[in-house]
Amino acid sequence: MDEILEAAPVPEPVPPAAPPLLLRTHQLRRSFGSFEAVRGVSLELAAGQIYGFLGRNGAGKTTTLRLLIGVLRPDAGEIELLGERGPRVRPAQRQRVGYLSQEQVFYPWMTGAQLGQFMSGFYPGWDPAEFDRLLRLLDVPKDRKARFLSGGTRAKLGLALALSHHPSLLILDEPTAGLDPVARREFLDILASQIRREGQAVLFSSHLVSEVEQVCDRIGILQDGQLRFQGALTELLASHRQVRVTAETLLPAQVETIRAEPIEGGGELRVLRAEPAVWAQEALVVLDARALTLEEIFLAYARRTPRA
Amino acid sequence: MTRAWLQKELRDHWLALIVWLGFAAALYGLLLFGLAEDQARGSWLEAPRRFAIGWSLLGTTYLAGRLIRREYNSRTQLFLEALPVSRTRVLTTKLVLGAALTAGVFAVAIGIATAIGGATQAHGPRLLAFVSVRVLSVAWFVWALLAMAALLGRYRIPLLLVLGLALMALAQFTSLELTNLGPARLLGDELPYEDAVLPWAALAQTWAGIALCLGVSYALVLARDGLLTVQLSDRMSHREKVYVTCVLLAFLVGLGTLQATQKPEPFRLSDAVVAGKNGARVEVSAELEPELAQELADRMLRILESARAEVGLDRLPGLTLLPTRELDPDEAERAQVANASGVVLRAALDDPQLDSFRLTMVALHDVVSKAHDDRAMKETSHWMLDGFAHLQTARELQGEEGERLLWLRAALIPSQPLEPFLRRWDPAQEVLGTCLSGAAAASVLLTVETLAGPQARQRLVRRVLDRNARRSWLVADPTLETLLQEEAGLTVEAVEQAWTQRLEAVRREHSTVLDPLRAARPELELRRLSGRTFELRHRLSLSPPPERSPRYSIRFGELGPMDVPEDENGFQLQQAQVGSGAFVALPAALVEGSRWMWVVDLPSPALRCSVRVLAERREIR
Repeated sequence: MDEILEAAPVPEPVPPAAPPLLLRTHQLRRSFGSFEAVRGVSLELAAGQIYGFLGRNGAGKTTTLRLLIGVLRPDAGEIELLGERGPRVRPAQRQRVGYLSQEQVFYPWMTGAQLGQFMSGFYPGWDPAEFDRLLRLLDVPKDRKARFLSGGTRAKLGLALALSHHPSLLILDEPTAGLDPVARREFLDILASQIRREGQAVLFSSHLVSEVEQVCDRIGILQDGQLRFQGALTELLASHRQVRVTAETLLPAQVETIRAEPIEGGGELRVLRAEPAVWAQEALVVLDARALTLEEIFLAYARRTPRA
Repeated sequence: MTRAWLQKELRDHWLALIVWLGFAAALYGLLLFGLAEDQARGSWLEAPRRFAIGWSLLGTTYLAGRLIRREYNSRTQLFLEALPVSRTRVLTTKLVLGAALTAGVFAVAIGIATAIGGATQAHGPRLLAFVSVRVLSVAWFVWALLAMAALLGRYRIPLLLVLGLALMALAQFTSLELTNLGPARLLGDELPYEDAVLPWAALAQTWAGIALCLGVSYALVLARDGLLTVQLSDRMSHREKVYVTCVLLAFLVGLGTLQATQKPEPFRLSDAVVAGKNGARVEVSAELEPELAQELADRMLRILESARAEVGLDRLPGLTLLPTRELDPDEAERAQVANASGVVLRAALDDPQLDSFRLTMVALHDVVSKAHDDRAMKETSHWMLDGFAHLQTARELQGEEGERLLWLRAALIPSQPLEPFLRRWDPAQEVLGTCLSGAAAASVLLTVETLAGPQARQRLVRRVLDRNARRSWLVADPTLETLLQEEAGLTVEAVEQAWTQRLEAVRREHSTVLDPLRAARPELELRRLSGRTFELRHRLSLSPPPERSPRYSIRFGELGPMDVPEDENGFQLQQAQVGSGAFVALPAALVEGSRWMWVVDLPSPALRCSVRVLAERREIR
């Protein structure tokens, strides 16, 4: 039996096919006058991924997202969206993208049902039944005018409008900004379950680490218009450590300092970034590196220091 | 997509559109009603023409505000931008909708006018096509202009103001005629009748304007990914309001200064006999006999030169005399000349019966008046200008006999207090006529001369008529009391007493001449002809009846809506025999409710002018 087992060739496990890329940008740049809001952003998003786009206010998140849905035109760079590549996103491409803006501005006299009817004229794949289902699921009154809806309900209505044409990609620009904690939690729960159900790719911007950690599996950290980190959440957590160093401490070349902060009694507290395998090296183990939470990593990137 | 869009626009603006259409219907109804009352309307297609003039600006401003500006003010364009539709398409949809609504309203307006006029007027398809093309082109031009302005957000009103002022300035400082500009030309008076030729140049200008406005609109919407239009739609900050106001004021002041410094070229005839000396210049049309023209030019120059020295002016506006056969020999009419300086008078120059006194007096009056931009005519010292013109003319043409005639004429006016008589000069002129009022004013100047000497009289005249003495408009209009006190050292009472005594003396001395004139009895009666129509009948008798019955004249005309004094030169004239006994009917039908004015003048050989015996304004009832 053992022989047979040894003789029989063991089939190599077939690696699962990599999900197709839905969105890829290459060195996107956009300025407003002399202010450079987006400085060479290259990001990738594959089908089924939920990408958390983290950054402080003014980091360039909204500008990047507006470039991705074609509201703004990049000064330089390219966007490959849903298989089409070009210097900007065309209206026809937008028909397959769902977008929820930071500020939900609707015609105040329109009810939810009227908004759905209006939007259906612009999206060939509009599904009225899905829209009704989403309104019920999100508990959005169908016949109440937009001007009478609370901020949370408006955000939910925006989500229903963004999802009802079954978009392949959903772009959400700080959709929970201004919502109270309960409304935010409800919104995120529904979003997560909806994405599990439909399997869309999501690009989700926020400056709230907790909600990104809750729903995203891929993270991008934007600072001053530049994408400082992009990768899986697990990779992000595994690749960053905080260490205490002195003048005598020698760091390997594979380690990058993200932030350094002087401490009392001499030395510095440093947030370092390296490939997860590097942290297992003997030279670094002795440094007693501390693992960081996502929030600590984000703060290390986002807070300005002379050495960051 | 377009259907969804249109449904949204109509649902968004349905109430506003009903109001808009209601106002359009009300305005058009009023226009039609007015035209039905207007006997001289000519064609019912006049209604769409007037509607285009009135409604295209009012209605389109409202439409542009609703369809375009509101989208930006309420920030709903952020919602539209996220939709899979380009900005170009968003704007195009709105522009097409606005143009269609505008076209619909005007199509209905033309249709109604055609239907009403169809029974009595022949509106061929060619004429209707011409009217439609012209009216719609203008309506769409205004729509494109105001849609563009709506995209300019907070700067739209300053921009439209500057545009309007710039056009007016162009018309003022160049030979540009606003009525010849494309849209204005398309809505010209001939629009309801012209079916022979389309004004292609005006159409091309209008459509070029439409293309320009549309181009700017698309550029605004697309510039900086639409951010420019969004920024423009923000409300003005306090600082910006102050800044824009300053810019507008500076623009206005600049225009005013330019206008003040601009000196129009003197009016010149291409073929004329010219006489000029020092600061005076006279042109007489070469249509006259050369000798007559030269003699007239030289004489007029001598009189003007003398008046210039008397008033103390550096130079006088040029005087141009044109012959005409349309006026009576005792008339002289000032012609309006555009964009040129100087005084142009029309009179029957080659008529042997020409009233030289009248012509010279009018020329002198108008030239001196024009020398200070007709300022004296707007002030309470207006009497001084008339008095100076009469006195100077009488002295130049008739010498002492002229002064005697002035007193004789002045003695015919009723006795009255001096100050209110001179202060309320315009009504006094209307009641007394030019001859008597001018003589009365001259007699006041002669009284001052008698009491305080010729130098005092000259200072008095110069105080009012010398441009240099009163260069600034801030210098107050002096009262009679101030004038007399400061320039002649006299009181009003002293002048009034001497003036009244002199007039009484003349009345006693020349009662045989004056009494018959004072006893002239004009009689007027209104007779209803039918319904609301009346006729006016008149006759004039003298006591005692003259040996040879002269002819008197009655001038008449309908008063305007403001009941302002009419220019008697524009009145109709009828002449009739004095003392014939029978009433003579005016050749005019007077409609009940209208207001008319008539004046009756009787020529007096002794006074060498026509004496006004009646001036009356009356509502017909």
